[in-house]
Parts: sequence; C-alpha cells; structure tokens
Amino acid sequence: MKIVNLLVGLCLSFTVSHGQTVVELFSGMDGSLLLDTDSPIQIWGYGYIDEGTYTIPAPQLTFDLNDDVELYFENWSPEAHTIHLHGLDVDQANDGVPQTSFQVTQGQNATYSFETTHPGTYLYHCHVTTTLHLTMGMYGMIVVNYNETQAYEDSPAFDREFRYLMSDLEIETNDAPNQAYPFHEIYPDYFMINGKSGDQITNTPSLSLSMEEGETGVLRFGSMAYSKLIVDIPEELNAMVHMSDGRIVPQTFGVTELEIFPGERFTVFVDPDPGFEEDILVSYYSMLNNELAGVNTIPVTNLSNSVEELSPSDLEIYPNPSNGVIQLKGTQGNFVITDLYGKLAHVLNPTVKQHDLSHLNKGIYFLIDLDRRVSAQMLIIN
Amino acid sequence: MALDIVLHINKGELDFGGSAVSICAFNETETLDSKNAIIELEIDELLNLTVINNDSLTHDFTIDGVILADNDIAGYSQETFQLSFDELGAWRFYSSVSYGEYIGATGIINVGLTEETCFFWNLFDLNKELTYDLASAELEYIPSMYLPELFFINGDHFPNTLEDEDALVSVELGDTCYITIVNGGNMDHVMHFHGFHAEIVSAQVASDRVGWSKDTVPIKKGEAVVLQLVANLEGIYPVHDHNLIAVTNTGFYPGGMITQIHVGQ
Repeated sequence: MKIVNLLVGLCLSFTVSHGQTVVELFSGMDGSLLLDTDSPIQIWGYGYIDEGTYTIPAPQLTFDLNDDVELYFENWSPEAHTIHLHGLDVDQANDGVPQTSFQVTQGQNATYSFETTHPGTYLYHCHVTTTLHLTMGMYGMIVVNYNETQAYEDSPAFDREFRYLMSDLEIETNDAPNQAYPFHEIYPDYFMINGKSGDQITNTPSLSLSMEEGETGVLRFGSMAYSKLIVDIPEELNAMVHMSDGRIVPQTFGVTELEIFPGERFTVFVDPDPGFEEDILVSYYSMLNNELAGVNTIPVTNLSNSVEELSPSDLEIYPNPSNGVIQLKGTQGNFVITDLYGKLAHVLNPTVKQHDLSHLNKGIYFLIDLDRRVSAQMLIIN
Repeated sequence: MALDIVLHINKGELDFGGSAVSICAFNETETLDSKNAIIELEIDELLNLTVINNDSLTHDFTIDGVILADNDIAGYSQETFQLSFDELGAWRFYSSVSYGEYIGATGIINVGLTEETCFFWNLFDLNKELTYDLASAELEYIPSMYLPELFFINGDHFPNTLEDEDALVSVELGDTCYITIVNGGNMDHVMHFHGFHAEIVSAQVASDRVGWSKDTVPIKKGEAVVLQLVANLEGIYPVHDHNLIAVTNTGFYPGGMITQIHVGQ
C-alpha cells in the first residue's frame, strides 16, 4: 500500500470527472507564517478556494498521468499574479508569464489548461516580479503520479512516498516587501522544508522519513530556494537517483550528497539497511559566494525500532486523566513527557513516585521510557 | 584543411543603460565589444588561431584541459596557437588573469555542429565598481562579499538579448537546434526553460549529466555545455536564470539573464 505523508487537502477544491481534473486556487497577500522563533512574518501565497487560507508552501497538487487539468485561479489580492507551471512544458497561453501569456489582476479569474504528459515532480509559482513574489511565498509542488506504487513505467515499486519542497526567504524583505528594491540584494536568512524550519521540522511527524524495515520509499525533492542545496543522505538508506525535472535519468545512480539548484527537482528511491537511524541533512549555500547559510534536518524514523506501548500491567499512570499531579506505578526508570508532536514537555524526577505536571497546558501527552526505549502511554491533563 | 582566425584581446569601458563598466573581451576586431567571439569547428578540424593582445598587461589564452601552459601573450604582442578537437562539444577559452577572466574575457569554441542550427549563450555577471579595480589589476580576486549588479548573455542583458541572433532562439516548429551555454562569470547560474526540456549533449564540468533531459540546467562557473532542443511547441517561451537575483539589471526586474525561444510555423 502506498502511503503519502503530505497529501493535504486533496478533497478540497479538487474534483475529478470523466478524466478531467479541476483545481481551484486563489491568491492572497495578507498571510502570515509562524517562524521557528514563534514570531509571525508576512507572506503571500496560494490556497484552495474552499479553504480560504494559505501558507508556505502552497497546496501540493497531485495528478495522475494523462490527466486533463483545469486549474481555475481567482486573484483575491490587490496586485496581479499568475501561476507558472514550472517544468510541465505547457503551451504559451498557459505558461503563466505576464509578458507572453497573461496575468490575473485583482478580483479577476482565469483557467490554466494542460495535460500531464510525463510523470514526475514539478513546481508552480507566480511569475509576476518573480524575484519578489517567490520569496514572499507564492510557490508549491506538483506531482504527476504514474501509478500507486511506481514513479514511472518500469520503475521499482515503492511502499511510501515523501515530498520535500525546500525554500528560503529574507526576513527583511517579507517584513517590508514594498521596500524590497533592489531585487538583486536578497540574502536569504530563513530556510525551510515544506514551510517549516529548525525544530518545527523535527516536531512535525509528517515531515519525518518514517519507514518500517524492509520497506522502500520514494523521495521527491524540489527547490524554490534562492540558495543552492546539498542534501546529505545517509549511506544506509541506499539512495538512488531515478528522475530529475520530470524525466528519467539515462542511468540511475547511487547518491549520498545530492546537489539541487534553484528550480531543480529529483526523484530518489531509498531501500534502507536494517537498523537504519541516521537523519538527512539539508544545507543551504549562498549562490553568491557558495558559503553555508543554513541547515535543516529531515528526521529519519525507523518504525521497526520505535517505541512500543507498555501493557497496563507494566506501567500505570494514576490518576489518568488528572489535574496534573500523577503517580507512576509498576516500574521505575527515566521517563519524559512529550506533546502530541514529540516535543519534550517535561522530564520526570526518577527518585520520586509523585510528579507535578500542573504547569503544562491542558491536553494530551505521551509518557516515554528512555531506558527501555519503550512506552508511549497516553496521558491526559484536564 | 585548417581554419585561420584572428582574435583581439580588448579592454576598456562600456556603458550599459547608464552603468559604465570596465570590460575585457576576445573580439574579431580591435574594437571592444562585450560580446566575445564564437569559433565554430568541425571535429578534427585544425584551427590556426592568432591572438593579438591590445592591452598593456600580459594575458593568456587558456582552455581548461586543453591549453594550460606556455600560453602567455605579453602586452601589445601576439601569439599563435594550433588546436583541434576530436569530439563534439563546447569549450570556453579565456584569459585566466584577474583583469581578463573576471571582467568578461571568455569566448566559446563549438565543435562538431557546423551543419546544425546553433545558438550561443555566454553568461557573465559583474559588479560595476569591482570591474575598475580588477581591470587595473589593483584587485586580483573576487571578494567573498561579491554582489553582482549586471547579468549578461553574450555581453548584454534583457531585453537587449532579444536583439542578439545568437541569444534569441528563433526556429520553426519541428526543428532541432543546439544551444551552447558557457559560464564565464563569477558565480553559478541555472537556466530554466519554459515550454521545453533540453537534452544535455556534452558538458565540460557536469559531464555525468550528459544524456539527461532537463528544464532547469545548472551552469556552474567554468562550464561549457551543449543542449539539444526539439521545438515541438509553437509560441514564445522565456528562458531565464532561476538564480533569481540574475534576472535583474542593477536591481530592476525583469532584466539580466533572460532570453526567449520563438517557435514559428
């Protein structure tokens, strides 16, 4: 069974009938993105019309091979925008370039029509004043599926699929886009994977490359960054490059250091060794001088090694739910409390049996046994 | 049979939309032109090349992997080089001194495609102030805080690129053409094709990518790549650097490294 970790909102503004796929997007210029410092920053972007909201990146659009796509676009923002279908080889009328196709002004709408002739990984972005509209966040990933378990005809089968769209922004520009000129002086200082950065990535389970031992995976990398990327893939994942820019490479090849320039895409198969556990590192280098500017980590989770739930006879949390004061019965050791996303919330004192967690917000948490690498008991604080 | 060619190394000041810049170039005459020479050869054809240095400083004639030594050309003198290439491809020739290469002295040798429809994109980036220090040899390197302001294809920027018959790809529907791209600039670039994928036929730097079909092609510093493009879609399509600071002219968008593909019927 194929598992796609990041399919978001496929049922929204996305309909299929008689081989024709209709997607409905809008553009906005009053959005906000929460940085990993917890401070918000201004963004522009695309969202599903049904939802009325947007973030970075724009919704992932997923099509099947040979779909006839109608991409309906409404501009809800004060400036003109377009949708350029990066890499899809569409005709001039649907290319999304203001000077050679058309632009969509405030309150107007348009439809981009195209057929998905090649499976692979693609991008879409605004092509109005691209230098600015891109760094403000107007981009997303497009995937054209070959079938449920293969990336292209005769490709190896995969069990799980992972999609990573790398990007960056300059905080100063997003804070004051009307003062962005001159456009050649954009120095990215915030680096993202699927719109998340730093701890946000490690705290977002859907961004983790999570596989059982014996499974294979396909990784789709795309870059809308200003920076050049180096993706360090652990040798134990046995990564093989199969596709780039929506085309099969003539000879697949193994890779542990994948270089990705702005606008490029790669499809990489992984077949991890037993016991795999090392994370993937993504480094962002300035295109100006090739100096390292930022690093993000894609967590790799070996589901075969991950925590197992203790039986109630081994460990009991009492009371549960509680007002925050609990006792552990049945076992001793080093325990921590994490939130639903795996973020550390509290370290329990191993020398006492009663623990005061009343400083934590009301909600659902997990109790983790660090010594035995087991447990994941649910804990509710009312 | 041999091809006899004379090139001049010229250095001086040129104006680009109000921006004065020091430029060095290999030209076919002694008049400075920011568009460097393009030499087209058959495979195994002998090239008798005379290079006349019109600068007071010593230059050289360098081709990576081909000519790396005994290639100096003293100021106000000339040297002759004999060359031939035994495979299809493109090479960049340049003057490797800081007051040559870093201010634009890079040309193209295209081999094995004289019977084909060919286009040429010679990429170059520069910082106006730096070009003066480099030209006078007061500065001998590109500083780490390099901030280019002008981005050229064949010695000029968009929209002027559309007036250059080597930069504007103008073909008929169904035609197959070849595009040679050389990066003589001071940073990496990455050319994105709208409407088309192009196959990498040869590459000096990224030779492991020969045979790939790409819509976004990295052109690293020093690269010389030949792409094959089949014009299977009618219309007008941009091609531009996706290193987005490079699609500007002194900060204004659109500009810099943008050209177009025109496919007519």
